[in-house]
Amino acid sequence: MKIKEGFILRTICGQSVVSAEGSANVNFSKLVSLNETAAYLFENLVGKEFDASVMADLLTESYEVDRETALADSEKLIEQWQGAGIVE
Amino acid sequence: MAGCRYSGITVERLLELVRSGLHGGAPNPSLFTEDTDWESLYRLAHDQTVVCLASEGIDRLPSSSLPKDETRLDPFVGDTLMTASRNSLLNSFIPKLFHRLEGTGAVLVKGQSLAPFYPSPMKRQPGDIDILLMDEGYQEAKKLLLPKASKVEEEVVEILHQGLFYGSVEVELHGRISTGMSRKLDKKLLTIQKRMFSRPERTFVEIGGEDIPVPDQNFNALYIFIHFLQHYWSSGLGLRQIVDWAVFLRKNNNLIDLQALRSDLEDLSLMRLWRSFGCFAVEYLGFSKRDIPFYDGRYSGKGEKILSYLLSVGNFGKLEGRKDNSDMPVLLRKMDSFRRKVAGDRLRHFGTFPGESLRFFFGAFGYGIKRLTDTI
Repeated sequence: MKIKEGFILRTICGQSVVSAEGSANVNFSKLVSLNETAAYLFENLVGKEFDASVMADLLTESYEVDRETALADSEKLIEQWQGAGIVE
Repeated sequence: MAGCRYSGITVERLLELVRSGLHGGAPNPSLFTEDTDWESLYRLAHDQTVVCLASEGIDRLPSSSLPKDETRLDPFVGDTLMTASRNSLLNSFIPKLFHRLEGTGAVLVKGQSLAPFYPSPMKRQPGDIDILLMDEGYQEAKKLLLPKASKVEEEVVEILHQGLFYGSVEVELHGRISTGMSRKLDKKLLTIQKRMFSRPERTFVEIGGEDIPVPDQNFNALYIFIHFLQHYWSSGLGLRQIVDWAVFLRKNNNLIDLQALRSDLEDLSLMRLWRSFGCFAVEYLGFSKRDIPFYDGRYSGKGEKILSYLLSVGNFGKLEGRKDNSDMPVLLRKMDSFRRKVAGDRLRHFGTFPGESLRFFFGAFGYGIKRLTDTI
């Protein structure tokens, strides 16, 4: 899977927010607020094919987390992103 | 502050955030204590159309100065996203519009033409698209644009003004700079407009990846200034319009022929107002004295009164709740507007700018009488 084209991560008022660029109006039901870890993953996955395993690699590279936990967290995050419609 | 619905500390906080948004650097964190009223701060920023500049300032605050419940900042986040999205739409529309207007001599003025001079162009809160033309070009532009418009407003023939819509995008064609402040002033402005259009050199700004024609820097410096003066003396003014002028001057200062600009300002008898608002931009918005041509600290005493007025009326006078008179019969409507403009708007700044208030009072009086007699 990959992050859909046009979705951009911005930091506004200290919050990391993903939204679709270029649409006439912002669809607030499609706004995704990311914590610091999710923002790090988003930045590193834009334009790339990935799955939970790639995400888990990124997490274990930069955070002190074991592979099993990283994989479980990645699967949860992918589910959230699918629900929000930002990955395809 | 007289007539202001916000506390002094809220005003101080907003100005601090706006200065940070305009010039970089962190706002003073000691102003943002636990009791910061973020809701009032947002409403004030919204009234003054500077939410996105304020949100840039908030970005630079340490986390200890931000509210514990981060949803209190959601209005700032939402407006900033919507602004970026709207700007994106307008920026992709403008090149197409100018392709269609080829050969008319059209130049983009105000609004979107000024966004490139902001530190973050996508964070200037947009409005409509304003286009300035000379007579023949104006008529030609109408022919080219009207058939494809989704809605066309009634033309104001005497000042060559045509509003039209393409979906949610509003385009305004202007054939004249009409201030309604004084006929003599408007006559001189027409000469300056003709002079700008007769110049062979062209000036451009990049919008949507293309070069879009805009007026030369001298004309623009004057036009942006006169445009906000017009709102100051009639419908109401917000901080954004003064910010527009000051960011333009900051970026174009070295391209302006200062001698020619001085001569125009003196000829129009507007130098005192220019210097007074220049002092406001320096003292309240944090611009450097070098940013504002003809800065003169002797004119600094008016800032408090100017700010007080901006805070009490908001952008385009949105806080005044003016009674809509559009359903009145034509003659009564004209008389009502005449009364408001002449007796109310022109004299409200008498305490701040007595000479100019009288000048624009009699100017508006002359205009009003002419419009009334035209109607009768």
